[in-house]
Amino acid sequence: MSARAGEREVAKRNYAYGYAKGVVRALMRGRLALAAFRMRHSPLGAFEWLRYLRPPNRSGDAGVPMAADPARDIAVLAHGAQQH
Amino acid sequence: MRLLFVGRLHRDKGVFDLPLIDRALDDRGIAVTWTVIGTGPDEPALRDAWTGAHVSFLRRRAHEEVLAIAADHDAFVLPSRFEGFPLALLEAMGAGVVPVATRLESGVAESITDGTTGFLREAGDIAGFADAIAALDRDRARLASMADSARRHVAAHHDMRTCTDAYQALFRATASCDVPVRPMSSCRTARGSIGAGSRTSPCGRSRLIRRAQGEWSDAGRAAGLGADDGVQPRALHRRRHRKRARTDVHRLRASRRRRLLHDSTVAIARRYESDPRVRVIVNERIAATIQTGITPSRSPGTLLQVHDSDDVMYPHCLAVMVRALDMIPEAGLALSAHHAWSGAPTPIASTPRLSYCREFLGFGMFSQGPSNALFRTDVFRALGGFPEVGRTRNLAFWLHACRTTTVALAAADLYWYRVHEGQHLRTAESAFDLAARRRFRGRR
Repeated sequence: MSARAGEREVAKRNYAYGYAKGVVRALMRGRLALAAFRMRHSPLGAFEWLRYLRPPNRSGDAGVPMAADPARDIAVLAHGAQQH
Repeated sequence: MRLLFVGRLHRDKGVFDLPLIDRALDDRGIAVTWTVIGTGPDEPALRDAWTGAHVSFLRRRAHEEVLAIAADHDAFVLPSRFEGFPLALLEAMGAGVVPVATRLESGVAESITDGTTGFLREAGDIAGFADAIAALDRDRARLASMADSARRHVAAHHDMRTCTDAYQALFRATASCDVPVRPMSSCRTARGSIGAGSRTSPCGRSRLIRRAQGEWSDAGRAAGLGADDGVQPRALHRRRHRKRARTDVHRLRASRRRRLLHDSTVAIARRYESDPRVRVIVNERIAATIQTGITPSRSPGTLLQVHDSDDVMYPHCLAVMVRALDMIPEAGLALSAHHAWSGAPTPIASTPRLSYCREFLGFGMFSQGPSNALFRTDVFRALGGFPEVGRTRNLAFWLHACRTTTVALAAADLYWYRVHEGQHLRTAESAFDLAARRRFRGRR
């Protein structure tokens, strides 16, 4: 699996967890209709829920530039990342 | 001599020097009692190494109690290896306790004038600490004189009221420039963007202009501080006069009247109308055109801000955001948040790739309102403005914008996002709206 594909898998996992958290929060507040509505409008299918619903794998380093531009005294690039 | 130590019982605080100093004082024939306040990982080891009836370990105590206990002591011993700006030291000095502390390149050395308001000794200099305490014991008049000097130093330089004034002056100086402050009515922001004379515009939606100053001055008055008229305009003028760039601040809420009324924005705005610095302006047309991304012809500024009228912009925010855009010319917008961006001092140039990583692999970046950004006007036009997709319009816009342009991540908390009763985003209808529309975020 390429690095980009791996990243996408992690991103989906993080997204699934956040989405599920919203559903659980609605349930905990007794808003059953909202929870059901959210599940009905979920972008993930049953298989994807089973595959991606895991604890999130978020990193504080994500999106952090790791190299500085000394000319401007700012950080510009992520470690090992390419600019699009 | 009654000696005091207050702090975390950790070797970084030099706590294992205390029994050695005690022994050195004993060798010099000085009778002392010690009070040690605090807990920490090295407390058991310290207790094992330092026994005797003249040592009292009081562990953790309430702040008021610590101050009362400190007042009954003669000297405060702080043999730390590392310190920042120790408040325990200042509080002890304020209570009239003479400090004997390590000479560190920190607030310790700034707070103590050696020989006048206390003693500074090198780290680990046990004999030096003992000699200083012994000198105080021998010369009680000097002890009283130094205690008085220490108390006066704290009162003069670290009193809350003095420090508040100094902070206010600092913020004021940061946000200000050398040009004179002009009255609000002549400010480019109001005249150019919203339109002079639109106060009486017949078509309409209310716009609260400079509610931020009103809120700021209210907060200042509540805190007993003086309001500073014109701090925010000065930030705007600074750009105008120094860089010949113009910033247009559009304060708007939403495009639909019912939502506006539902949010009670009009009522909120009217509450501040009694303040002479606040104007409520009615102009529906401008908001609609901005909403669809067409900047009005009366807004020729190079920078643009779209501001929710029930949020608050702190006085220095535009100065900070403009500077971020100045530093990163390739950035199409500057973005602040209610938390510090991880990873680097700001501003950070976040390329589309970095923005993607921060949002989906990190702790998020797109949960911001329009108020949190300052745009280059041409970039905002090219992006097409905030799409009309209900509650998710902000998210949709950030996804689009951050995929398109580099973002200058600016310092945190330049705005106050005000959560209040009657807010549209808190309604059940809005929650369903979000659920229905959020799916696009999960698409590839």
